[in-house]
Order: sequence, then structure tokens, then C-alpha cells
Amino acid sequence: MEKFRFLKILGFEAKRILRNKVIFVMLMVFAILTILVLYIVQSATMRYDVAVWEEDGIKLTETEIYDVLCKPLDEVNLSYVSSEEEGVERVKKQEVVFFVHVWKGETGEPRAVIHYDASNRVVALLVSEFSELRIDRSLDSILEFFEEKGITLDVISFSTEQVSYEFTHTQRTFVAELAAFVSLVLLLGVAYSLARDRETGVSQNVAYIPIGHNAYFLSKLIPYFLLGIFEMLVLCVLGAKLMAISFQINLFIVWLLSSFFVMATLSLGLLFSTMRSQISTAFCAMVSILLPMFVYLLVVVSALPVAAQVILNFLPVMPFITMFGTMIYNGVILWWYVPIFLAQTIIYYCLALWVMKKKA
Amino acid sequence: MLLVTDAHKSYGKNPVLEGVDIEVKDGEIKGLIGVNGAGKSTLIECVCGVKKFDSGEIRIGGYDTSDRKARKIIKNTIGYMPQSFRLFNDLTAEENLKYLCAVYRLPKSKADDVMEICRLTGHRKMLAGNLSGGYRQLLSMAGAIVHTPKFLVLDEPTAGMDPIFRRQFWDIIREYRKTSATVLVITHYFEELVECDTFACLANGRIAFNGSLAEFKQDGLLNIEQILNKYTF
Repeated sequence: MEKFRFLKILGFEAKRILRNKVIFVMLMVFAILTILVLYIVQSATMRYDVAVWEEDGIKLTETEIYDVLCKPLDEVNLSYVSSEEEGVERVKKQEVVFFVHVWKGETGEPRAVIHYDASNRVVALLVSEFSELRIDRSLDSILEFFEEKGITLDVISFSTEQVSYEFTHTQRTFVAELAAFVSLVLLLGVAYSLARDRETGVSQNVAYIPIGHNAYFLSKLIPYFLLGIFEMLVLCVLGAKLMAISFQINLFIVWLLSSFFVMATLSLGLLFSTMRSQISTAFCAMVSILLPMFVYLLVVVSALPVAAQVILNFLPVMPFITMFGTMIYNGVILWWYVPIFLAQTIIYYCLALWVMKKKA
Repeated sequence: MLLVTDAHKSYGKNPVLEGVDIEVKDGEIKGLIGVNGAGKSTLIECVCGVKKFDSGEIRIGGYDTSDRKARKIIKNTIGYMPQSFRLFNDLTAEENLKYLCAVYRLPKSKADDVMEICRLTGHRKMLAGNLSGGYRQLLSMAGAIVHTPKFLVLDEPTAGMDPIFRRQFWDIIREYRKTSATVLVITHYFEELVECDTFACLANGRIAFNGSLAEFKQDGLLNIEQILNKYTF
């Protein structure tokens, strides 16, 4: 009987969401934006210039090094140089995104050294990928190298074994886009919905009608949860169709695990909804999405201090990007992120509950 | 039905209630009157559980409101109509009442009954947000009585209403009283005290007067200003 009553209440809340013009328009706008952005990203081809110095008769294009370095980039234009100084100079002048020196190793295998400007985001992302795949050098050692030299020019050497890289740089942005769109709708939707109820005094009803805080919160969150996992499914299918991403793992598992991210995001939205006004709620929601997004797009996350990484992982977007990126592109499930999402869900939910009760 | 003993409440350093004692007997209509900022709404919100007293005791139907186990019984005992509209603007009048029926585990037909009582039948399909002020108050009243509470608490139910709506409202209250309910009502209109069995006047966070209108007039008082002049703390 109690469950039946809750379902009835849930039905009324779902009706309210559907009637809410602001949320409805927001969903429509984001759906259109999603398709538009995916289309633009897909149709855009990025062209990069790379300087090459070939020695000992090694041809870069015939080695696996080429696959590793250049295939992730949409289109590469190779320009040949005849010395290290010349190549490094072209990197310094930002004429090329990086300079590769290839030669024959002691046992005859091709070896390579990359020279690049550390501020170059394209190469930084490549390095980040190498680091995540644990190939030859970790990012830490690269950073140590930076520090020793005290310059922004870096040198990395790596072996060509173990590497398989099948996605272009633009395809790699898919997970970040997914995180942004889903978070925006969920965080703003649930936070706005509750903040509005609080401002109009509706949320105070729980004090004198026989409905508890948990039932009230859950009746708000469950419709958004369903909306979130539906949106996640649609976006994954769009990603596969429009961006031609071949998921390295079963789409159903991706979708299933995304529900943990959706839960954590909703709980965070719930916490934001306890803020004093709707404007501060919206501000916090935007910051919690944009901060990890900017960090992800502008710097190499694993290069940040541990404290910064821990702080970023308190926001659901960052663990989502790491977990789902690894899952979709590399086919590896980082299971330990599931408890992180669960912990976020519980912490944010309990905090929101505590704040609401305290304010009452 | 209601017994408030030595209630204190302050917002920061500003005391709002300073040792309020008030009793509402079973089956009576008690009015609560006072100037703006006297603490009437705060007192009622504390009674209904929206706010908490800093100190003092509230008993509703014999149950202490600070007893968590009794909260569920108390919530079913009281019907509260707040000063501002607190139902869902994006649901229709009928849906709002059906929502409350679900909350109180009542059949949906109860919503129709209460709409009939509150003269809302003609506006049942209108979104609450689109209702005029008077009908919103009536809907709010319907929400407060949908579960036939034994103790009805009304916070300025007729504020801003035209005389016709006010008369309708008091008709509903009188009708509802026949269910042997107890009513506590805040009002700004001195003439509405005629409808109350007894009333209390709150001034400066204390009860300045507590009794019937007849007792009030025996004191030679004719309006609130005279009470305030007489009982200045």
C-alpha cells in the first residue's frame, strides 16, 4: 500500500515535469544542441602539421610509430627536416604540432623521439593517452623531465609495442560531450525543480502533511533518473551513428553503468537545490559541470596535483569522463569508479537531507 | 486540542515569541489577532511543525509535537492552510487535491467531495497557478480539509479577499465545524472575531488578551489599537 501510494505521488511529480515549460524547452534545446554539436564535430576535419627527421633508412609512415602518433589525429601533413635543431625550431615557432625523430635501434627496431611544446593540447592529450595505456613512460616521468629542464619543450621516447589506437581525436571528445549534456539537463532540471518548490514554499508541505523528506526527494529524483538514463541511451546511439564510434564494450554495459553516474549527478543537483536562491543553484550547477570539462579539455588531468585530482573527482563529471572514456575507447571497465559514484550519491543525498531538515 | 506552554522563538537576536501560553479547547473556533510582525504566523508555523520553538512545549490532541513517534499522528490530526499558497501551481485544482488524497491514503472521490464543499467544482480543470487569488485560497482551504482533520489551522485565510469570498469562506469554516473539528484562525479583520468562540491577541511576542468577544467588550475595548494601548509590555 505504501509503495502504491508512492507511485501515485511519483505520477503527479512526473506530470509536473512534463508540464514545466522551462524544463521542457531546456530538454528540447539540449536535444537540438546535441545533434548539432555531434554533427559539426563529425563533419569537421582537423589538419595537423608534423615535422619528421628520418635516419638509418627508416620511413615513419611505414612504422607503427606513425599509427600511434598520427592516426589519432584526423589529418596529418608531414614535413621533412634534416636535423634535430631544425625540427625543434619549427616546434618552437609553432609551425608544427610536434617533431618526430625516427632511427634504427640497436636490434634494428624503429625508435622514436617526440619533441613538442608542452602547452600544445593535442600532444598533451596524446601523451595522456600513452600514460593511461601505461606505455613505456608514465606521465610523471615526463613531468619530471620538464622540471629538470625547466623549459616547456619536452622530449619523450617510447617503444612502439603494445599500442593500439583506433579513435580519432574528435571521437575522443565524445565522452566529454556526453558528460556535459547529461549533467546539464539533470543537474539544472532537478536543482531548479526543487529550488522552485522551496522558494514557493511547497517543500515546506513535508512538515505538516504525512510525507517524509525521503519520499518527497525520491518522487522528484526518480522521474529525472529515468530521463537521465534515457538521454544517455539516446546519446550513445547518436555517438555510434553520427560519430562512427565503435564501442569497445557492450553498449548495454555502458548504459547500465551510466545509471550510477546519473544517480550521483542527481544527488548533487539535490544538494545544490538547497541553496538560498535559484540563481545560486544554477551557478553552482554550471560550475560543477564546466570546471571538470575545462580541466579535461585544457590540461592533462593526471598531471595535476593529487589534491586537485581528488577535488575534481568529488564532482561526478570527472570520474565519468575517466571511467567511460576507458570503457568506450579501450574496452576496460574501471570497476572501482562504481563505489565512487555510489559514495557521491550517498554523501550528496545525506547532505541535502541534513540541510533541508536544518533549514526547516 | 492545542496547548502551547511558555513558547519562545527568536530569529537571530530578534525575539518573536516571548513566553506564549495558549490553549484551544476541543470543538471551539479560536481566533488569533495582532498587528503585523506580532508573531502570529510564527506561532502557527511552530504549531504545525514548519518551524521549531527555541523553548516551550506544544501538545496537539495530547501528543507532544517534539515526540518524533507522534509526528505521523499529529500530521493526520492537523489541517494547515498557510498564509501563502503552497500547492503546486503546475497541477490543476483537481490534481492538487488528488495528490493530497494519495498522500493521506484517501479515495480519489474525496477530492470531488471537498471541491464541492469549497465551491471549486467549476474550476477543477484549471491550473492552480492560473486561478484567481480567491480561488487559490479556496483551493488551499480544500487542501487543508481534504483528510477531515480534527484540528484546522488557518493562517489569514481571508486576507485580500472581497466580501463575497470572505463570507463564503466563513460559511465553509462554520460548515466544517459541524464535523466537531477545532479551528485556530489568524485574522486581521476585527469583525471576523464574531465568528470565533474565543480569541487571543498577540502583541510584542506575548498574549495581550485571551478570552471571548463579550469579555473583550466588557473591558470597554473596541479594537486592536485599544488592546495594544492597554497591554503594553
